[in-house]
Amino acid sequence: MSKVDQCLADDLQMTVDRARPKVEAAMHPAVRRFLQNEKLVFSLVDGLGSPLNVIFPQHINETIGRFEQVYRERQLQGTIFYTSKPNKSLALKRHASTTNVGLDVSSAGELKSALASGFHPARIEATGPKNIDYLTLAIQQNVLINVDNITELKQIAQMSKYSPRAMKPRVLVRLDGFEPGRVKFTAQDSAFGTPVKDAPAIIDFLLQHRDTIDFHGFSFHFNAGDYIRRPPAIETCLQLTFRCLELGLNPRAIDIGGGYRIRYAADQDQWNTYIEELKSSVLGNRESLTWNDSGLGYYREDGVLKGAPNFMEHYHKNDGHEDFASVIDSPLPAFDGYSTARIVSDNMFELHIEPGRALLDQCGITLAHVNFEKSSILGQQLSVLDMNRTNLNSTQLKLMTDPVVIYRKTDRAAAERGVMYVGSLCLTHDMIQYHKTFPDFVPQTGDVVAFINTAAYQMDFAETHVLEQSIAKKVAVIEPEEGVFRWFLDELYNPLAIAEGVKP
Amino acid sequence: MKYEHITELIGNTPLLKIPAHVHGLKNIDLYAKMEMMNPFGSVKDRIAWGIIKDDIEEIQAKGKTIYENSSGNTAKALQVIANMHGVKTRLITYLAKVDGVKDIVRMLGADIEEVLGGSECFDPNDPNDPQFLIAKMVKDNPEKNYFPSQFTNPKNPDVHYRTTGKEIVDDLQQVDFFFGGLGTSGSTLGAARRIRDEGNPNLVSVGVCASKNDFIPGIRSLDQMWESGLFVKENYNDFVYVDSGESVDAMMDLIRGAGLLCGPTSGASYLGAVRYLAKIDPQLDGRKNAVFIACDRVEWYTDYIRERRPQLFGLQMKAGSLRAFEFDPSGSKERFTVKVDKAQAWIADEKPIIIDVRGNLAYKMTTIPEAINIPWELFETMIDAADPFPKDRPLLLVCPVGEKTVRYAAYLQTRGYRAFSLDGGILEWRNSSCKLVKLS
Repeated sequence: MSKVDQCLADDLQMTVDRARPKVEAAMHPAVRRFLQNEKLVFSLVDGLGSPLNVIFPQHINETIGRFEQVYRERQLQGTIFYTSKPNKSLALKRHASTTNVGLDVSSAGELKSALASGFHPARIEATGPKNIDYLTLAIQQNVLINVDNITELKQIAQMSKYSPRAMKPRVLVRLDGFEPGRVKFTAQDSAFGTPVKDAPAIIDFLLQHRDTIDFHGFSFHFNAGDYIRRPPAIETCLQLTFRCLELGLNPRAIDIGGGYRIRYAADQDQWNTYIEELKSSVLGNRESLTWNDSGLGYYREDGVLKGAPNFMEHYHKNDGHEDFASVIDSPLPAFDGYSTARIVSDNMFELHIEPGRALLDQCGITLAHVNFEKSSILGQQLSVLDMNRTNLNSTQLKLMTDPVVIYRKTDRAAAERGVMYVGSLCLTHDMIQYHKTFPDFVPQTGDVVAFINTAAYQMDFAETHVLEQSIAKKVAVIEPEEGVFRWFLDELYNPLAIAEGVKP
Repeated sequence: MKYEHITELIGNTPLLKIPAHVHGLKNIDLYAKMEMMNPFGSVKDRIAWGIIKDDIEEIQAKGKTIYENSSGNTAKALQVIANMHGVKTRLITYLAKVDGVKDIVRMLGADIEEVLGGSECFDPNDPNDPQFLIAKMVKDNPEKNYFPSQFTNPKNPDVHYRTTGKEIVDDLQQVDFFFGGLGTSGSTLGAARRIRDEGNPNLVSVGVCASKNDFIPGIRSLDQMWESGLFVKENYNDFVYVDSGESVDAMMDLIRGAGLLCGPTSGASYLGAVRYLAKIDPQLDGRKNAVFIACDRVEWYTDYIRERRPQLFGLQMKAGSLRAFEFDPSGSKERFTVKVDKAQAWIADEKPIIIDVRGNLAYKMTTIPEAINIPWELFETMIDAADPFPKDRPLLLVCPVGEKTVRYAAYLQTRGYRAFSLDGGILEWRNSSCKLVKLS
């Protein structure tokens, strides 16, 4: 529905049921087709166990392609780094290795897995806090090291003799604590990177060690949505880059990190309505939409709504690559109003980015069996799933979209009340979602519930063997022709074997 | 008419009937409440003065600083009043989105601090939220700081109850529909309550909201309204959503059709009114009156309008110009390019004018020997304005990767120039280890 059509609120109420607000998930057509293939869905969950993560490795071609298009339109050189951190799937990494992306790893384990997945060391970047084993392997493989602090840089200089064939260790230097330019903000602390004010000391060190260290350039990273802070940070990095060139170093890249968002909700009106109803419920105007009436960060004080949501915005007007484009197109005052894209392209620098979350958009879903339905002690309708909260968990995001329910039986009871999904940990409440959703029918034992778009940070970021419950298996699913699906255990997915007809 | 003090000019604004052929309604007379005619330029003059006038002597006497969460019309009015009374202000807001208004406020002498929100919505728990920051500062030193707090102060709707609403009832007697943009919600609440109390208890009051993720100055989405301490949903009969681009179009209808030089927020209220009333109009058998608030003037918003409707500023492309020239980059480019491996010999033979169209900074850092620098924005302007180069000498055009300049070369050849692009650009030149020079 376009904005022009949505102008009248009373029209809205015809399409949106405010009593039973829905937040349908944005869904790739292939994911929708897969879920319509109910026999396959049931046989996979029945045969491989609940919960089950389904990976759609081919979909990263699309997300990567959108970022590549932004590069192409601006004649930019440089590397888009796929990021290991948000998902452990080997299939995704192997598939990424068949594209032009680099790979950003953040631990020794991830580095080993990257090498095993087919990434040549020249395509790998090692970021994050590093212990000695991680640093050793990074130097021995001569991957691009994104240096966190001066101590690490000194350690690399010291260990440069272990580089293969007298190659110099290749480094980026990660900065933070940028002056905000004309915009003031109360600084947010970060454990990552080196303060900008220490850059002169870093540059001195790099000059003294230019025979042992190959300095590629400066980098930074901000969290999703902090777009306004980026141009001043880029400006500072570029100024330092030119300073380094004048001093005789040879920086040739700038790495502006990731932090680009995913649009989880399919429809803006549905999302707005749910949040309006949530706020309305916190003010006591309707029955609660949250577990234990927690309000998901909102609360009522003196009759007025206070607080802040502890979930992310699920609908944005722009996709991640569009936000990326607007960041690199915004004018930099210190460069006569030229954009980042222009300065980088004109000076033949490389622009590196690490859009971890955004590249995984529509690349995975999480399936679980329904164990049983019941009422909570205070009368809330619960659907108890054969999974636990660590199977769908991240440090930042509560997934607020409605899961898709795949019903096994045709005679089913209409769901009069909203449903909350609970896991199976032996605790007073093991909530999978903390908000109420409104499926058409009550999910029954054996039905399958599918959480959509869980590949980024959701499905296995914080997963544990708590109570000796199982960790979800992953299957990679491809669609060789429309509506026909093939699946592989995640670790057995080999896109080259498929392309070469060995596993046709 | 003689006045002693500019604040006496606040309020008592006219009610202007919008010509029926502009809005197209048959049975409804639509009036603009001309808040744009307030002395400092907007509806906010009323609340700025209305909230602080009782306290201004104490503010002066104690040397207090006025803090407010605005860099728009409220800020502007507060700043003028503060200037006249020799009082300092500090304006703390989210990053302002309308530079035109902010520039005026700065020019008036305001100290504006813009903060970045940690979250995407209005967030009273965020340490960077302006409302939170100001409340904290004022609490820390109440003897020196004063916070009108337009978003939470009940004086805001009260001022509109006592003045705006009363004026509308006095002028029109019968008011059936009332439309206003939802910002602090002060004007719509106060004025509508007065109309109900005195004129028509069956008044239909409609709040005009922005679509979420869109931006109309001074208007929020319905979702955000819950956090305004003043908002009472029950006081509205309905809500209308409008889009910022369409609001600019509606504003232009008012400007060109009714001579009303109002801004985009007025356009939004007008659009909301017309959309809402168009559905009701055909079913009416008697005449009805509707009022919307024309809250401020157009002049501050040129950049905002240009972003949404650039064609209003005559930026159409001239036929036959370089900017209008279409070039198919997938076709053969041989006629328009010089390959890097042949380039040095070609340069020696042909002695072309070499033009590096990258930015001046990049040109100074490194370029091809003998190249002059005309950054591409300037180059395009020169080419479209005149014939700036000799046609008997070849031109070698250089950009980072040769994509921009191949199009230039193809275009210039149509105009009889012997123009060529360096294939692969300066990047290919560098990668082939050809000589580069640094100017300093």
